[in-house]
Order: sequence, then C-alpha cells, then structure tokens
Amino acid sequence: MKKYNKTLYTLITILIIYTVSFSLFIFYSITNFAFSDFYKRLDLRRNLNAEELLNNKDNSSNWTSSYIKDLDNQNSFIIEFDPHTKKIITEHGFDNALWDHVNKLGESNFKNENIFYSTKYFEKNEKHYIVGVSAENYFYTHHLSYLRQLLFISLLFGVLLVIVISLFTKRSFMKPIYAMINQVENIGSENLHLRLTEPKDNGVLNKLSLTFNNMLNRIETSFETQKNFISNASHELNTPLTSIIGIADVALSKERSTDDYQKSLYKILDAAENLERKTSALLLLARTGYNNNKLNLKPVRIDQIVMDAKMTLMEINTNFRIIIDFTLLPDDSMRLKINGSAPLLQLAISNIISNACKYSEDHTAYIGLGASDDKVIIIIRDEGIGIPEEDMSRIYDPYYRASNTENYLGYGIGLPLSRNIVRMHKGEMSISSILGEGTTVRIVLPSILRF
Amino acid sequence: MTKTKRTLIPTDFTVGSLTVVIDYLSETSDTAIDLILAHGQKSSDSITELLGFDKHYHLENGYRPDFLTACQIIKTRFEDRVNDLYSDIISSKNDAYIRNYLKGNKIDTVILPDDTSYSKSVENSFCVLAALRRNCLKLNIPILEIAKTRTYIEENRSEDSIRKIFFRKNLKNATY
Repeated sequence: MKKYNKTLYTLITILIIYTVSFSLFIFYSITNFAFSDFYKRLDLRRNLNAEELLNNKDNSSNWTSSYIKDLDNQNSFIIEFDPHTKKIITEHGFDNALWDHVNKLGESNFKNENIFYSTKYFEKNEKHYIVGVSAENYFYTHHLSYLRQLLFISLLFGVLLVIVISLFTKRSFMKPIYAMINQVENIGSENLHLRLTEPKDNGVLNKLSLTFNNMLNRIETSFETQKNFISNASHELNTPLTSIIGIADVALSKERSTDDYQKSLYKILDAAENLERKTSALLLLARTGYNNNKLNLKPVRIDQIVMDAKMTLMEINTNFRIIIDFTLLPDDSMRLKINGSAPLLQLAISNIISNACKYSEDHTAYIGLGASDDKVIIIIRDEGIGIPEEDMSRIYDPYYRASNTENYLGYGIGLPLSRNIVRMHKGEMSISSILGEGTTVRIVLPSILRF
Repeated sequence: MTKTKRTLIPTDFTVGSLTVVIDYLSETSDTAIDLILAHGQKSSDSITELLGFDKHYHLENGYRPDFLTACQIIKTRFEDRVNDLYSDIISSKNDAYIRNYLKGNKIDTVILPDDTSYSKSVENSFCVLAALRRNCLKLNIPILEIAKTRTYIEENRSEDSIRKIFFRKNLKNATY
C-alpha cells in the first residue's frame, strides 16, 4: 500500500511540476515577446528622432506623427559626450544616473522600472551623440501583471484539481479493494460458505473476486470434507453394513442348505465389495481434498456411471424405482466421456438418486442424460416433498436438513458431499425445487472433448 | 449425394417448444436436415430501428437461458442427421412476406404442432402458425403435423426448464 501511495504522490508531483513549468513557459514567452516588440517600436521612434535632431529634418509637417503615434510617456533625448572620457558634455531630457546602461559605441536597449529605453550612438561634425527615446510599456505594466495573476490562480486551481482528482481516483480504485478486504476479513471457518461479491464488469477486480471465490470453494470443500469425514464415512458405510447384517441374520435364523448359505455368502460378498468401493472412495476424498492433481482422473462414461449407480441402489433398496431417459443420448460415445473418478462420481450420483427416491412417495427418480458441445448434462428429478424456499440457501450446509424432512432418515451430508465431488470434476450442480411438487437436480460436467 | 432437407419449425424460444423438434426427429427417418427454428417477432414501426435492424441482436434478446443448451443437446443427439440448426425471425404475418420467406429460404417442409399456446416470449412476439399453414398450402409445401408432446411436468412451472426435453410421456427408450 505504501508503495502504491508513493507512486501516486510521485505522479501528482510530476503533474504539478509539469503544470508549473507550462505556466512559467507561457509567462516567459509572452514577456519576451512584449519586450522585443516594444524595443522595436522604440528603435523606430529613436531613429526618426535622430533624423530630426541631427540631420535637421523639418518636423513642422508632422510627417511622422501622422503615421506613428507617440507611446505612453514617450520622451526623446540627445546626449553629447566625450568618447575618450565617456563623460556627458550636454544632455536634454536624460537621467544621468542611467548613463552606465548606455552603449557608447552602438545601440542599446534597457529598462528602468517601468520605463523602457532605446539609444544609439551617432557622430556628426566630429561631435559624438547618443540619441534615445524612452517610454512606458503599457502592456508590460498592465497586461503582463494581469497575466501573471491569471496564471497564478489557474496554477493554483490546476494543482488543486490534480490533487483532488488523483485522490478521488485513488479512492475510487481502492474502494472496491477495501470492500473486498472487509469481505475477506469477515470470512472465517464458521462461515466459509460466504463469497465475495463479483463486480459486473469484466475487469481485473472481477477476476480477482472470481479467483478468491474459487479459492474459497476449494477451501470450503476441503474443510467440509475433512471435518465431516467420519460422518460421511458412517453415513455411506451404513447401507452396505446393514445389508450384510440383514443377510447374515436371515441366513443364521434357521438351519439351511449349503446352496442357501452359498447364496447368502455371495450376497454378503457383493455388499462387502460395495462397502470396500465406498471406503476407497471416501478415503480418496479425504486424502485428496480438492486437489485435482492428486486425483486419479481417467476418462469415464457418464451413462455407465449412472447405470452402475442405479444398479447399486436397486440392489440395496428394492422399493426404489429409477427411470432413465436415454432418448437424447448422443450416438458418439466420446461426448459422454468425462475425465473423472468413477467411484466418486458414482457416489455423488447415487446420493442424489437416493435422495430423489427417499423423499418421494412413489420412491421414483427420473434421470435424463444429454450432451452439448463440450458438456454432459444429467437431470435427476423427483415428484417428492420438495424443499421449502427458506431452506434452499442452506441445503449445502453439512448436517443441515430441510424443515420438512423430520419423518425421513438422513444426516444432511449426501448433498454437500455430492456437490464437492461435482466441483472436484470442474462441474456445476444446481437444485430447483417446489415444495410439495418435487425437486430437480442438474449436474453439468465438462466432457473430455473440452480438454 | 443426399439433398439437404430444409425444415422449418416455429418456436417461442422456450425449451418446451423444442419437444416438437425432438418428436419430429424421432418420428421421421429424414437425413441431412437443416432445421430452422422460426420465431414470430413483429418488426418495429420506427424508421431508425428498421434502419439499424439486427437479427442477431433480436435473437440473442429472445433466447431463454436454457434454450441454447437444449438446442445443443438436440443437435448433439441427432448430429448424424442434422446438418445445421439455427434460429430465425419471421417479422410479419403478411402473406406475401411469409411466401417470400418460405421461397427465399428454400423450405421443403414445415412442422406444425397441434398446440397453439405459444408464449409471447419477447415484446412484439406473435404466433406464426396460422400464417405458415395458410401460405404453405398456397405454395404446396408439405406440412407435418406433430402432436406436441406432453411432458410429465406442467409447462408453467418455473423450475429447471431443461428437463422439459427429457421425461416425455411417450418415452420409448426409458429404462425401468
């Protein structure tokens, strides 16, 4: 910040120096012009005067004054002097104190206070003369002083303007940054869901906010994943465990044939494998957090993942009904491939389908699959209880459960976990719902064609 | 080489209106199709607006957020049969204009839904169905009537609209 201020003050100083130099240059140029012009006019009058005085040209006809007007306080003088001693012999209308300023061998122009002088050396009949004219420069005495005042006031205003505009610009530049700083300061571990406001323009501040928000997304995801790992694990592992216990209970409830035991053991094996897959996925999630580099991303077909999720869920919950609409599935399988982790994606999709079935009276979930140019779109909807509008903003909070879910078993972990996984795959998940009518979840994932 | 079939389908820029496109493509075996999604939007009476008329500007203003995504999904699904899919504006109901439009765009077939409840998606929108039907008959352009598919979901619900192209009631390929 100090460096920023230093740069700003340097810029202000440069601008002020430039303005002052500009004003001085104007003043100097005009003064210079006023002097040289006035001396030229004096020289002309001095030469006419010399003609009149030394060559005895008759001035009675007033041939000069009809063309050349006298200047303010114009005064003519002639001095006879001794060229050796440089002393005045006779003089008419000349102030002797100014004798030193006069060039005794040629022309000279000088000024004393407001009076300007023009003199020239002449020789006639072996006598030596200095003929001169003096006058007051009205432009110098009046107009230049006015110009000086004008420039001084303009300069003052200019400097003030530069300072005010610079400080105002600095403030307007810094304001959104300070606002951003305040917003960042308000974000703590307890409210990691907060995000910075993204300016509407496409400038650098927008990019900065976006970068911050992306970073917060990563932090939040990582934070939640770490914080809720045990809960996630228990939630996710409970279903296959229940299945294993149930099958084992049934198998042991009475004496059975070897075939029956074998069937039961196969079912237990299936459930245990399912459990193992989930454990690996959760361990992976906890170990890697949000860091994509460490994720083992491979090209996977999303339709296959959806089918697998469906199969897994139907095995565990026989009352679930899952309808998949493949009518808009592209023929080109490459369009359905994404770079992802199959166990994690299956986990995310299973969670959402499971919720759709769980919260619907008919236990039916509808899944639509489609692909655009570089995205895969999955729509999962149900005709269930829906989510109250006031709960929509908090549905991604871990452990948060909507107010109308009291009669349904759950921990409020599935949805944030699913969103984390979708985000890990650079995808987006959005939920729209109408209370009592149903919920639609849209997952958009970048297809392999994008990369 | 197969001749490209240029097919015009009216739209009101809602995802729901695209179900007709899906039904047409699902029910026919036409290949090499150019699909033109035509939207009726009356041109302005102001001379300055007419001078600076920009079709793309009006089209971009009219698109609903999910409309383009839904179009892309359809294009991707039928990419082996659909050469091109684009939107256009029909700016008048005038018979001569409609006939010129159909001739100028070399329209081979017009698909009309039985449903006429098209929404006025943007200002100055109008329904082009009647005008198209009238003028196609005059020009002997075949009209294919398609019963607009009822979706599972009511059209007026303000939820995620992209799902309207999924879960249609006459689903043949849904797996249970």
